[in-house]
Amino acid sequence: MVREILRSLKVTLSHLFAPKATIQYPDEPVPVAPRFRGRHILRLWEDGKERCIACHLCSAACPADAITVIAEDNPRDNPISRGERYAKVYQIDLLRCIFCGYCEDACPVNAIVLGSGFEFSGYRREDFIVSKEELLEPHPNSFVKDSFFDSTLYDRPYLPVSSLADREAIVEGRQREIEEAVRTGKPPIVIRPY
Amino acid sequence: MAGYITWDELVKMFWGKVPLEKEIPANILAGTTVGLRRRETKPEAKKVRVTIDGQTIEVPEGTLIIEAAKMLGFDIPHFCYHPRLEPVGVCRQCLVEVGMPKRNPDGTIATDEQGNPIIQWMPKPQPSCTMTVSDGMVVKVKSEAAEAARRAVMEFLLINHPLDCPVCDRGGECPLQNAAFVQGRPYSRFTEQKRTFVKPIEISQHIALDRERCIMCKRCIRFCDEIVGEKQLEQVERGWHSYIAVAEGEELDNIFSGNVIDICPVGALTNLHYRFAARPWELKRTETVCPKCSIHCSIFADCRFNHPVRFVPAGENLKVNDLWICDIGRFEQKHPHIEHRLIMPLMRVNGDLQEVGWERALDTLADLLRTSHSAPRAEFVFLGNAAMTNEEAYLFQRFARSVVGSGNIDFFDRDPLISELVRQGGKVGLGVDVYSLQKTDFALVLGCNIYRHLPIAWLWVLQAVKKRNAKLVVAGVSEDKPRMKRWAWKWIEGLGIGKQGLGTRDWGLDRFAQVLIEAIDGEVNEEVAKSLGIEPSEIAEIAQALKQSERPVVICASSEDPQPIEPETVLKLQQKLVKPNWDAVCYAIHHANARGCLEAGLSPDYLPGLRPADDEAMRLVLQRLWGNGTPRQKGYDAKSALEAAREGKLQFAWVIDPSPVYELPDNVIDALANVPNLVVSASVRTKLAEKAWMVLPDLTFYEKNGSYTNWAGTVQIVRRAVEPPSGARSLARVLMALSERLERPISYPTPRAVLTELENLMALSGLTRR
Repeated sequence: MVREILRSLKVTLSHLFAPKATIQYPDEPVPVAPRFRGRHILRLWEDGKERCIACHLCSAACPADAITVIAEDNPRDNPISRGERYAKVYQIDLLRCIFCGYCEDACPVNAIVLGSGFEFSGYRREDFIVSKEELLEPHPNSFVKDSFFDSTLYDRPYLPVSSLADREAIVEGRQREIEEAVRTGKPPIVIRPY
Repeated sequence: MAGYITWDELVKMFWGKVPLEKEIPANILAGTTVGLRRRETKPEAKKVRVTIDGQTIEVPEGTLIIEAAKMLGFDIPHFCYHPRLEPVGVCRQCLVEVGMPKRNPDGTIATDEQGNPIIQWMPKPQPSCTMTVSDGMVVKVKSEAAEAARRAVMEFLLINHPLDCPVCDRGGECPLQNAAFVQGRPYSRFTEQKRTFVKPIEISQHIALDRERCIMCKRCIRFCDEIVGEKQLEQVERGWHSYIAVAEGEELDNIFSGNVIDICPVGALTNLHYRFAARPWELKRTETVCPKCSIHCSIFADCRFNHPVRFVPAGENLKVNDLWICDIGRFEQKHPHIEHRLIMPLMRVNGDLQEVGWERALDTLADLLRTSHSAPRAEFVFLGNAAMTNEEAYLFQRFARSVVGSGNIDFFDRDPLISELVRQGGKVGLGVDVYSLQKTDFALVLGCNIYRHLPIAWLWVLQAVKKRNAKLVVAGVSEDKPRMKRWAWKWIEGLGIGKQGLGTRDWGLDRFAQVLIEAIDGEVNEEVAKSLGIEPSEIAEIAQALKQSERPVVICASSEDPQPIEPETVLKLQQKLVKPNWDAVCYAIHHANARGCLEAGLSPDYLPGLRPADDEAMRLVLQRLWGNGTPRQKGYDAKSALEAAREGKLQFAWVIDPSPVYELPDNVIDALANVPNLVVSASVRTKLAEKAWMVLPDLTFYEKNGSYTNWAGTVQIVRRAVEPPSGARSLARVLMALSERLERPISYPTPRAVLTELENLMALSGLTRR
């Protein structure tokens, strides 16, 4: 009987000295998964210009109709983006957003990404409509540090601007998988290519 | 998270982007696959059998392969081919394999052992847009070789085409984008530098040109040349360096220039007013008509955020405008800013206009109108405008006649000459479709600049001149001379007022018309011809051509033009020149729905159906229909009402402001300001509304449901494209509410019910409509 008691105590004592799983949440930050889809971030190019060219594809892809874009001609003398147009208005209603990430998929310039931020609070519905200025990441030259814009958190691999050979390899690889699946009758493992 | 933009602010910012006080934009979807080419096939044209991908069809000789394939439902991709333009075969996108049956030396078709004809295939694929079908021809559209050829062409077209679909205004409705999705490669094999140009450049005040996107299909060049007849665009340089440019010494300023935006199969020509205003999938599209002139082209009003951002032709309308609209309808339409809109009735209290509720406004108005039964009726005047729909016009005159009992009912810009012509037994407008004008063989334009005021009518007359060698005589037009003169067989000018010996009503142009009428059957009055400065032989020549013409078109200047023609002269012309199946001698009508308003009875002289106001039979019908009698005596018309207002004789006037379709002149506003009880229905605080005693918020044209009758009597539906602000009420609703308060209720469930009643009355009067 003593052996049984000691065995159970061993389990208890091992947990007593093991590292704690509890996180003191408001005081300690919660680590999120690397592919977590949180609050949106509008990215900039290295030279500080906005990536967004106001093509409205994110708002077209949005199943919750949470994104509103109004485009305008890019000023020639002081361009805001690298394209012919830029987003004069870009705003997201976070209460409508379902954080599906379709906007991220639709974006042709990788301007909008879903970051790690998830702590929203407010007293009014309007508090959850975020404007372009709030969504933009800090200028590369600025010293602002903000957990929302911690690049280590959101800078996960995007669709790589791969070479032609890479893309062909992906396409061929998919083709082989599908052929294999047809031959064996087993569904192929679905892996997002990025 | 402060600093968000509210919905209202968003909407305002967006509207701020569109230049409201200037022009509002346009463009069209694809434009590539609208119907088949309308070429004239002679009745005796031989039928030939052609087999396309195993399906056989019999088509008239001379049909293009691409058209025959379309009849069978094959959609061969194409860029340079357009159903209304001559085929040129420059883009090579419509390649197909073509074969002909082998013939024996005696001409019979050679067959193999099974009895099937032996097909001899052409060694290379052929463009289906330039090759006509012939008997026994076999075509392969979906064969491997044809598809490979088209894929290769697509790859070539995309070599220099920039990958900027996300920022291109055409992206989403672009034929090249669609074709590239269907048959293009998923990636480019082209690793060299793309050809670049400075972009975009503004080639006119309405159109931007992006030469990088251009695929050199030359549709825009051909449109300006073949349809408009003004060679204003051309191709510069050769080979890969070639690009589209405005021709040297020219300007892209023809009145149909906006159509090149629609027919461009890529985003090379874009609308500067619509630039980046919306993406095509966000637009709410409504088919309606254009209110800018009395032609009434079918247009799509494309709206974003409940505001029209562009106007484009609505596909094929083979009674009016086919595929084209003019730049006035496309770029110069206005829609008032939401901030300026009236959303509550205004009433003058202590000298200021103050907002009052609808109930109070209507009660006050009803109290005032109730006194009309005792007061002399001459003091109550109702003035509409030519931009009202048929239904509004009909209801307004019914309200004035049967509820208030006043015959003082008219609309601004009613042409007194046309009313006089009707009184004498003439016809109001064209007796044939506007589109049918291109069947004419002789067109006479008397004093009306139809290029500027009725552009689509000019377009169809021009097609007749270009394609059927019709003779065009233009007399007494001074503006747009270089554009019209080069197509005119005879160009007559210098018929000014003030020629010696001419009376005030007897001016040069009218006299010219009279001499012409005399010369058709008799001799030329040489004395008058010389006093007009025209050779008598020239008049004789014109009269001879007019006499021989089977389908003559005569468009006469009305009172909007500098030198109007007298109704007596027009009546004589109508008696001489109207043929059994062809009736195209009439006054030009300039304002939107002037014909519809006149026919709906919005005039002191005529009841609905153009019956005179004292026509007892019609009055009896209306008494049975409306429950109240109509006044027999003719009342004030707009002109005499304004004079009475100036003298301070009028007690009450209800005026419908035509803004923003067109504006009332200042002298009218000043005259009406003298009326003590001036009620104005307006959508914004116009100059007239500022002078009013009561202002009732009205709907704008794009918020109305109803119908418009055009110059040729074609009735078309006006649909609501924009949701009106909640405080504005349609005129019909206001009139019905008022009539209930006056205990003589008018009630119609829908605009359609009003139109049906009006059409029944017209049929009763023997007038038919299309």
